[in-house]
Amino acid sequence: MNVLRVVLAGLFGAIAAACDRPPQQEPASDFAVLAQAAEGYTRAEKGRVPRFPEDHGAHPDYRIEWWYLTANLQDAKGRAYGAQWTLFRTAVSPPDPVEPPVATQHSQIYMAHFALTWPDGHTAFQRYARGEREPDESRAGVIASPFAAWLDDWSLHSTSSGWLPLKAQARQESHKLELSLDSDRPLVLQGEQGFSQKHPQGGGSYYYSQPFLQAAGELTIGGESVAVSGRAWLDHEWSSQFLQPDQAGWDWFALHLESGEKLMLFRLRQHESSQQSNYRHGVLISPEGISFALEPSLINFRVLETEMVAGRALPLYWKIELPEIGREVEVRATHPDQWMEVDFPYWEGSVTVSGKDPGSRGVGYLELTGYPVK
Amino acid sequence: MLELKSISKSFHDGESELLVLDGIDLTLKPGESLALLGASGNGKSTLLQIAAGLEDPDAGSVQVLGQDLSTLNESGLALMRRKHLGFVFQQFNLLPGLNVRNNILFQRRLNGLGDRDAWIDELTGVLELAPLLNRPVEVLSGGQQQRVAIARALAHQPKLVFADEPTGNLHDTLSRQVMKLMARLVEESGCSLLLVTHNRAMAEFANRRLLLEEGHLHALR
Amino acid sequence: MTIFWTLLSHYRRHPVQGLFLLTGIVIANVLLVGTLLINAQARASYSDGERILGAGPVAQIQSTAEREPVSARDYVRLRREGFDMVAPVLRRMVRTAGGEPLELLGIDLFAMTGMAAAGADSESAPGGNGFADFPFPPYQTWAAPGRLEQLGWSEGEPIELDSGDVLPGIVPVPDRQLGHRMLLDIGALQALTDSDGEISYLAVFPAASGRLADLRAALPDYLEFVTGAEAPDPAELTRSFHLNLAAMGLLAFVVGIFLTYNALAFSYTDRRELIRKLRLAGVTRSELKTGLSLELLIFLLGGSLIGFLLGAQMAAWLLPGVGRTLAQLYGVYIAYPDGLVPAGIWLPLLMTAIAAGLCALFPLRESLDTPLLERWQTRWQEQVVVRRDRLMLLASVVFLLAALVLGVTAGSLWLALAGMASLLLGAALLLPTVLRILLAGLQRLIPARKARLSWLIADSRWLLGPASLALMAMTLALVANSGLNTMISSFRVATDEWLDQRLAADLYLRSRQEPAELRAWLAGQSPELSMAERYRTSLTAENPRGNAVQIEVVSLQPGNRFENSVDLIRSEQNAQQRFRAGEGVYISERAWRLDGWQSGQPLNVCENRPDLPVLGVYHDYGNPQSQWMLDQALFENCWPRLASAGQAIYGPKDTAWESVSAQLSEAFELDEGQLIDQVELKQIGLAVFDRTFTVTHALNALTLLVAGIGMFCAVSAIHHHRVGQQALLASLGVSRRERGWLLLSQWGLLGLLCMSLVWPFGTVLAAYLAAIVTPVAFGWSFPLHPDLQHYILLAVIASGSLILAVALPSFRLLKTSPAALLREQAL
Repeated sequence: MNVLRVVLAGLFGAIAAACDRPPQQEPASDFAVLAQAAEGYTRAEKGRVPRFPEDHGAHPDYRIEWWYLTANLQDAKGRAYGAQWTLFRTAVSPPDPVEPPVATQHSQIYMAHFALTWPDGHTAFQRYARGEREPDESRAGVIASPFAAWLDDWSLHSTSSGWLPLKAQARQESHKLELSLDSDRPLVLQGEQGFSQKHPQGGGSYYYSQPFLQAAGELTIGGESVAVSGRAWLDHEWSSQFLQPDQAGWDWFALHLESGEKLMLFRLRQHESSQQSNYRHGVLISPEGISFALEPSLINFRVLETEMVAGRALPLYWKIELPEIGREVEVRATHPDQWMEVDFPYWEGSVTVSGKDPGSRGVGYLELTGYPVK
Repeated sequence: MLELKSISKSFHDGESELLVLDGIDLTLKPGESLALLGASGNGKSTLLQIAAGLEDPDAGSVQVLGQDLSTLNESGLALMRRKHLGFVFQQFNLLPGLNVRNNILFQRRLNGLGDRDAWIDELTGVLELAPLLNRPVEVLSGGQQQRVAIARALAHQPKLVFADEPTGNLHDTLSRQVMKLMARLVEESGCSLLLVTHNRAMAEFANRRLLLEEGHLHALR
Repeated sequence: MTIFWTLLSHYRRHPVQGLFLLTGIVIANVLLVGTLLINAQARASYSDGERILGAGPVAQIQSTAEREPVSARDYVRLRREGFDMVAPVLRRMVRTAGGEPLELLGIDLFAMTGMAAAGADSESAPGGNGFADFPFPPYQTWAAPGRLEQLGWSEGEPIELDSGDVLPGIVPVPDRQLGHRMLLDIGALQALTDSDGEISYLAVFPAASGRLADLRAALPDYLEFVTGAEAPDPAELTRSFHLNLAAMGLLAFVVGIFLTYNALAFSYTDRRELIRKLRLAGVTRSELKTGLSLELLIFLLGGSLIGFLLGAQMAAWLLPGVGRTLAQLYGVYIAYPDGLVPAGIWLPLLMTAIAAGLCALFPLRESLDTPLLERWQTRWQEQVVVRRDRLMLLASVVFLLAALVLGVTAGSLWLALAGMASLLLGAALLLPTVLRILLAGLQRLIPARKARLSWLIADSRWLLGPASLALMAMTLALVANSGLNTMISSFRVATDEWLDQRLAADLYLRSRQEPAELRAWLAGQSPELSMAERYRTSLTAENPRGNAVQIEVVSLQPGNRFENSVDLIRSEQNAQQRFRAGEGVYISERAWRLDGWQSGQPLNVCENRPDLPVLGVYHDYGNPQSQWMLDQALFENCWPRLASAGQAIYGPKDTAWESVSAQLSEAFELDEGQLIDQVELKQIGLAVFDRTFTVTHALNALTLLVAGIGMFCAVSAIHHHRVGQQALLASLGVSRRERGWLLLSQWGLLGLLCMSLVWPFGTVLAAYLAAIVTPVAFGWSFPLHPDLQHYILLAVIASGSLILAVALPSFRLLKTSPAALLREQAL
């Protein structure tokens, strides 16, 4: 089904940014949309600190937003599983003080992805919906308190009066996800007090995470249920202008270390034609939830191996040197076949982290976008 | 009665032009009968048609009963033919669908004349048409058809009768019979006759004979 | 080969004759091919099934109440319970400011993802933008190019509706099987039609059967799940319509064959002399036969090819009209492809070949059998013609008897149509004899002294020889035209009266208002008004013919006004009283005629009741489903939990309905769509009716045109034989003007005389259609209302088109000088 591909590639391009075509062919087309569309929306700027529980909800004044849950899980036999539940929101038009005459003309479009990884396989699904005025009459929406984010029967919601614990649910065909998520650690505000810069020139987003979630529940894969538990990471990010036109895609790491620390790293890759160097970012979060921003110039990404997946050469084995904190981690996909064959395809999957010490070992999720078909 | 002066007529046949009548002069007095002889296709019929106002000459003038035909329009010419002229052609002389009587009376009725008078009786008597009067014309033999045609041509007592090979489709004996009847009736009615034929024997029935050759008229001994 | 070229050289001298022969063959093919292609295209659409953007839903979820929308809340609840195979569809009928009804379909693209919808490549989408602009302001209206052509709209044209709103920008979208409907974003359509949050039905797309069962189980009792299998099969539903189309094509084929025969007869007759000379020169009969057959084959191939191309063009041109008819008559939608696949040339070619072969047979034999040494006499000798006409009369009597027998006994559509064909042919074959008798009568009336008039009549009789075939073709077309027209106008009168009866109430509400509330409001506000509730459900029952059929069951509200609105075609004793007492039910004409339930027969209406007898049969025009009608008390007893489908309000004639409806909408917060007044309903009903028959009218006009062309060809050929005639008349002193008048009045008279058959047979045909064909095909009958004005119009058309057809050849004939005519006849 590629009916909506063109529309939504434009709308969600900012998030998935997976460009089917080699970027040098038409470097501007996908991203020009983003630059234009930012007008009329509220811009994410330094200094506005997220407030809770309000900011758990949707921010329709901003163009794009997502709630992104990944979980590294194990069954009773210790086999590794992975789960992804994501809800993206995008506004079709800038906020209008005048209510549209008809509920269905509400300008918020949602897209959801749901993916499961099991020891020898992977599957991914997507759905779309238009947001409505009335939550009761809306196939998709996000409410701040009590927190609920949903698209049809794919949902992530609080099970009590507080934000935590959460429950994640999704079902498609014979695949199903049901996880309870809880934590006693605080939220982590990313970047500077929740403002995360995404470009050397200053573009960015509001961004906070809950990387300390304990997950337990059941996965159903091809009709077979398996009880699992493990660790999960939830990101919530919103912005009106995310990538800059000269950026092609990103490599993103969210790692749970055996030391109890969390490590989040990403680099935004410039188009080959761009004069700018890749934007790098890294943060180490202590088990107590205190984050330490790494010096970008001292984050050294090295690709050890690429593999051909879905016609693209993807870096699935990395060595990342962090001399600032004296660590060296090797990140490797649990298996290469974690390709998200959705309207804007990308690679998102569970990884294992290996290194000398507990602070360099663990599990996590890797996201690779914007790799052209070879 | 009929006066043709310097009549010329030519036909186009592809690129070549064929001059069939070249400055013909001809006069026909009242009561006179004139036979026009000539090989077939050499313009005799054309001369007859020009004289009857059925065709315009390229040059020259035609006067019928003192009237210059070039001064008449199409309906004037039709009216002239209807009133004063009678025709007998070689074939297709009769109107299919009408019976013998209605064919004979057709032109008479066009002129508003009554259906019966001594002259009609005379015609049907002489031409022996009485037993055929109610027959459809399609079933008549060739000789019968020509007799009906003669009756029709004379029924309205025209001043001038044009006959174009009237016996051309009939065999010799029959031709002679029919021609004889026609000559007799023309004489009785006192009208003039212009007869076109390629047959010298038929021409003998006329007072005067002329030969059309290469566009010119020649007197015949 | 020399022989072939010599024979063919005839057409060099008489190119018009060759043209006429070709025209006859082309005409025989055009409409036949056209209707065949249309039918094939429609059937292809049916076998594809109902599609929305190329995706085929397996079922619909709709409200059990008539015209009640599905609420957005119910829809969202289903989706949030995980039933992602349902997608909302809003169906709206609107009218343009010009009064054209439009069918709009609102869909939610976002809900249809993952449903294998479209399989569409965004690259092929209109304007290169794909779907990008469809679901977002300022929105778009997608329509098939064929539909736009039909409406005369162009891309982007602002179309104003009678509500004053303007449709979003028109975008022509080929290859999406839109057919008659136009596609909008559901939100845009809701805004356009003031139906915020409304959904007509939920389309259910393919899913695992277990999930579909779960979905059915999850539906509240006011929503029903209707599968494609339960819905009437469009191919079955529209079978009669397509048969009618095919019949029209065949009619034109017959007209074309008449003309072909005519042209061949002239062409062979005129070549008798040539053939005689060739045979004298030693050419054998079989060589001549081969030469003439080869020539015919060339004409046949050429004519069929041209006919085929024109037919395909015509089909493409008519398809949207057919789509409109199907949409409005049956609620069935077909796609309008850009080009019709030119498949199936073989059937028309074969038919034409056989027919042309037969046509050639007689004149060919006649020409070849001419005695060698006898110069040929006039072909149209009266005895010959009379003998021919007598044969035709005999054939006519046989056909008419067959029509009578078939009319009395016809139980199937094929037999009914065969009867109709027999009737048409019988009427046409009767023509020469009838005209001959009439002309003979006229001749007797006209005094012989009126030379020109009696010639005119006599000559007209003669004309019956060469012209009767063409006149028969024209009569055939006119009888068909008159019959169809009378049928349609009678049907319209019947529908009009029926609408008057059935829309007994003045205002209809289709909101789920609490009846008690409304009753109380009426009592307080306008005590002179009364309210009735309407109920509707559907069930599947086995009919006496042994088929399971979908039955619509409706309630009849109490009160004289409603009781009198049901006009019974047949009834049992005391039907009204017993019906009121709930002792029986009424059934629709369709249920009686097509399903076979009889008056008096017991019927199992609902499970908790004993069988009830059928008390009467009523008209139910335009309903493609059979219907049972129950008294309201009985209905409520049978289905106690069913909510009412709507309310009807009625009152005295002089009520100011506008203000009542204004007050009602304010009091109960109704929007425009929920409150419909009777006048508007009726207007929409009749507008739909009128546009439903546009294709019939178009085909009808085409057949007439074809017959007119045929007349023109025939007259031109006949005039060729009239040269001597005209020369003679000219020399006898009939002026050109007079001859002109005579020619025109002669053909005008023939046209008028044809009416002696067209009128009565047209009426009989209409009666045949109304009383035999339509009941068998649709299950409806209606009384005949002959349209006198149209009868006069037909006479004018017949005479006028004859005069028109004759004018040009006559003008040519008259323009020639008499001498030239004399020369020409001598050739």
